[in-house]
Amino acid sequence: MKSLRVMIWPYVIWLGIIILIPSLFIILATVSSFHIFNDYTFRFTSEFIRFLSDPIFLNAFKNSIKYAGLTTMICLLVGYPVAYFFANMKSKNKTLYIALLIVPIWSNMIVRIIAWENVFKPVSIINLFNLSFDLIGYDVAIIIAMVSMYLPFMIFPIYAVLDKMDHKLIEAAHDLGAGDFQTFYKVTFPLSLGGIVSGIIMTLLPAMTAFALPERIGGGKVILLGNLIEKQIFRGSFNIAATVSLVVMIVMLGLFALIVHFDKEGETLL
Amino acid sequence: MRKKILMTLVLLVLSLVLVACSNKPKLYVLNWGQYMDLDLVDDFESEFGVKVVYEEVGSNEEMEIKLKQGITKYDIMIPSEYMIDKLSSENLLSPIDYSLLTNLNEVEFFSDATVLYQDEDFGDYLIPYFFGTVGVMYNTTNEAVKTAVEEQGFCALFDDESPFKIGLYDSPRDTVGAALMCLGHSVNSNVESELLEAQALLEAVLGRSSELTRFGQDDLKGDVARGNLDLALVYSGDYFEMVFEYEAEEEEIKFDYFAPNHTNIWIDAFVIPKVSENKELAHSFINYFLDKEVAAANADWVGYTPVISEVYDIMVNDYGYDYEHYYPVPAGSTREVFMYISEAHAQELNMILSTVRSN
Amino acid sequence: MKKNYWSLSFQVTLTVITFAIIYLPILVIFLMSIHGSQYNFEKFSFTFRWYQAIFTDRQLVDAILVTLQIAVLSTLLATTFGTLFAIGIHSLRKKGRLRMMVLNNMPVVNPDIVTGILMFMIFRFLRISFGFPTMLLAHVFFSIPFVILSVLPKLKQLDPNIFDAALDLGATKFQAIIKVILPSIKVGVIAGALIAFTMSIDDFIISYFMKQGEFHNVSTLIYSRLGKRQISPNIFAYNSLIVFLTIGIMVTFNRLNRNPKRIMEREKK
Repeated sequence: MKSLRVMIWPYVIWLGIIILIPSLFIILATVSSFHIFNDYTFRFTSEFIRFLSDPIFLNAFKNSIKYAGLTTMICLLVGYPVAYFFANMKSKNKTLYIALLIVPIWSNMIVRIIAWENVFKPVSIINLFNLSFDLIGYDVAIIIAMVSMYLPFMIFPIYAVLDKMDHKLIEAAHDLGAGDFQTFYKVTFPLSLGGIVSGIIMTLLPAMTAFALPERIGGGKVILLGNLIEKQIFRGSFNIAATVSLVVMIVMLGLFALIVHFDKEGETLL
Repeated sequence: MRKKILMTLVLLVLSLVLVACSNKPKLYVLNWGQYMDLDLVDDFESEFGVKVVYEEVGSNEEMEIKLKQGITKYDIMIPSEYMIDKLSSENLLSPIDYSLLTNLNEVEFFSDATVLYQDEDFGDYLIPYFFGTVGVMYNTTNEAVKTAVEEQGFCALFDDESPFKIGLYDSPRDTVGAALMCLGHSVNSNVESELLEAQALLEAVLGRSSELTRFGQDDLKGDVARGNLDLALVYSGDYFEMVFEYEAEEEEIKFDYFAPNHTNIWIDAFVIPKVSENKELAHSFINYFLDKEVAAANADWVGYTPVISEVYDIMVNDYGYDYEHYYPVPAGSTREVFMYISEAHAQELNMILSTVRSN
Repeated sequence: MKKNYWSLSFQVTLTVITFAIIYLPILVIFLMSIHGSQYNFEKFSFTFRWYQAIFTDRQLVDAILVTLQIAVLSTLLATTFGTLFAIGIHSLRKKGRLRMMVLNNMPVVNPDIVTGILMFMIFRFLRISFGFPTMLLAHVFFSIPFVILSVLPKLKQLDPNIFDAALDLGATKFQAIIKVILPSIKVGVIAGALIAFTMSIDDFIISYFMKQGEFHNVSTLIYSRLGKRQISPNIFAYNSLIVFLTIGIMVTFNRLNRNPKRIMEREKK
C-alpha cells in the first residue's frame, strides 16, 4: 500500500494553507499594526501585547478559566459515572440510549441558549407551571446552562473508551483478588484516561471561547475570551482580536501536547 | 438497489445545488435589520428589472466595517447621522444628485429634522429616512416605575438606590450618552471629567444586585413589555414596534415610553458610497422610497416616524398612527444629534463600557 | 453486594439528572412552539400557527435550504476526500502516520472561534467570494478530520495484504480502492459521513465568519435575529421538528438493526 502514500500530499498542502498561513497573519497582527481591512500604515508595535495586561483582558481570561473550569469539572464528575453506566449496560438498545444523548446537540445551540434564558427570566413560559426564576447574570445560571451544553461531549469519549475496554481485564483483576474499588482505581480508570483527556478537551476549550452563552445568560455582563474576540473583530480592533486569539491558540496547543502525550496512536479523539 | 440509491442521491444533490446565474444589474443595499419592507424592495426589483442584494447589520459600526472591508461595493447604505458625518469626512460618500430625485418635488422634509444637518458638512450626502428619539421604555404594572421615570428622566436608569430592574443598551454612544444627559452634559461631550462622571454612574447602577441590571439590544423592548425588566433605555422605534406587535396579537399593553426633554434625536438616512458602481440606479432606489404611497406603506411596515411631512400626515390620518410620542420633536424640547467623534473618543466610550462590565 | 447497589443507584441518578438537564431546553422550546402567545404566559393555549409560520417566513426557508445544501455537499466532499486521505495516511509508516495525525487533529482541537478567524483571514486574502463558496469550503475543512478519524480504525482492521493481492490479480490502483478497500471500511465511511453531516447542520461560529450579505444558514439567521428583533416562535417550531425527526430516525434505525432476519433480507437486495 506504500504506493498510495502520494494521496496525502493534497491534504498536507490544504492544511498548511488553512492553518499555517493565517496563524502567521495572527502572530503578525499581534506584534504590528498589520490589518486585513486595507487601511493602515505598517509598523511594529507592542501596544497589542500590552493589552494582555489590561484589566479587561485579565478579567475575561479569569472568567473563562473560572466558568469553563467549573463546567468541565462538573461535566467530568457527572459524566464519568454516566458513561460507566452505559458502558456496562447489557441491553440491546444501548446504542440507542447513548445516541439519545446527541439529539439535543442536533437542535440549534442558539435556540437552546434562548430556552435557558427563558427559564432564568421571571416572566416566561415556565410560568405555566407556576415556576419563576430570576437568575440572569448569576453564576449558577451560567454554569447550569454550560453543563447542559457540554455534558454529551464529555460523556461520549469516555463511553467510547470504556465500551472498547476488554472486560476480561476486569475479570482477571477480580480473579486475582482485587476488590471493586481497587479494580476501578487500578484497572478501569487508568485505561480510560485517554477518554477523559478527550472529554476535557472537548469541553474546556469550547467553553472558554463561547460567546453567545455568557452574553445571553450573563445579561451582557459576563465577558469571556470568546466575547472579547467577537466584539473586537467586528466592532473594535482587529489586532486586539488577533492577540486574544493567539492566547487561546497557545492554550490549545498546550492541551494538545497533553493529548499527544497520552495517546500515541492519534486515535483518542474518537 | 444500490445503483438506484446512488442515482437518487446524485439527482438530489444536483437539484439542491443553487443556480445563481443572474444577468440583471444588481443593487447592493446595506441596512439595519427590520428596517425596510422587503415586499416593497421586491416591487422595486420588478419595476426596474434589477436584482437587489439586501444585507442587514445591527449597528453603524458594522456598516462602517463592511464598507471599508471592500468585499461588496455597496450602492445604498442607511446609517445614522453621526456615521454619515464620519464617512463623509473620510471621503467615502458620494454627494446626492438632487436632480435625479424627481419625487422630491412632491414632498417636504420636517424642518425639525433638516435643521439638524443642513448646514453641516455632511448635509449634501444624505436623504433622510426615519427619525426618532432615545428614551426610556417602562413597564406600567408597578406605578412607582412611572413616577420614577417621569421625575428622573434618564437618571432613573442610573439610580443605584432604585429597586427596579434596569436594561441598558449595549451601545457605548447611547448608554454613555444617556448617562451624560442625566448629568446635564452634552451627549457628544469629550470632556474627561464629564466622561468619568458618566462612568461612575454606570458603575454605581451595575453595582447593584446581579439580576437588577443587564445589557441588551433589541431584546430589551420585549423584556420591558413582558415585565422581565421594569425600565430600559431604548429607541422610540423599539417602543412602537412592541405597541404594534401587541396590538396585532391583541395582548394587553402594560408598558409606556418617556422621552425626557433633553434627549438625543437620531436620524437614519440614505447615503451612496463612492465605491458604488450603480449610482444612477441607487438614486432611482432612493427616489422610489420618496414616493408618498411607497413611503407610507414602508412607514407602516417599519413603524418608525417618517421624515417626510406629507407621509407623516398620511400615517396619522389614514393609517391611524395618532400616538403620543410618534412625533419626536414636541414643542419646547431640546434635541441633540450625535456628532461624529474621533476614533479615539469612540474607543474611549467603548472602553468605558468594557471596563464597567469587567468588575 | 450493598456496595454494588449504592454504586448502581448513584450512576442511575446521575444518568437521570443528565438527561433532565440536557433535555430541559428541548422541552422548553417545544412548549414555546405550541403555546399561542409570545407575551402572555398566564394560561396555556395550544396552537399550530408557529409551525405554519415556518413556511411563510421567506428568510427562514431560504436559510433552511442553504443549511441543507451546504450540509449535503460538504458531507459528500468531506467524506470522499477524507476517505482518500485516510487511505493515504494509513499507507504511511508509523512515524509519518503519527505526524499526519497530529496535523490532522489540530483543527479538531482548535476552538471554533479561532478556526473561524483563521479561515476568515485566509479566504479574504485569497479573495474568495464570501457566502456559499466560503461556507462550503469551511464546512468541508472542519469535517475532513472527523471523517479521517472515523475511517482510520477500520482501515487498521483490514488485512494489509488484500490491496497488494488485488493488484497482483490485475486490478488497477483505482479499482483496488473502490472494489476492495471501500467495502470493508464501509461502516467507518458511513459513520464519518454522519458526523460530517451533524457538524455541518448545526455549525454556528464558523459559519458566522463565513457569511456575507443576505446569505445565512439557519444558525446565523437565528443569531442575527437575536440581536435585532424578537425571536419568532416559528424558529422553535422548526427546532422541535428537527428533534422529532432525529429521534424518529434513530428509533427506526435501531429497530431495523435489531432484527437479524430483516438485515439479511436487505443484504439480498
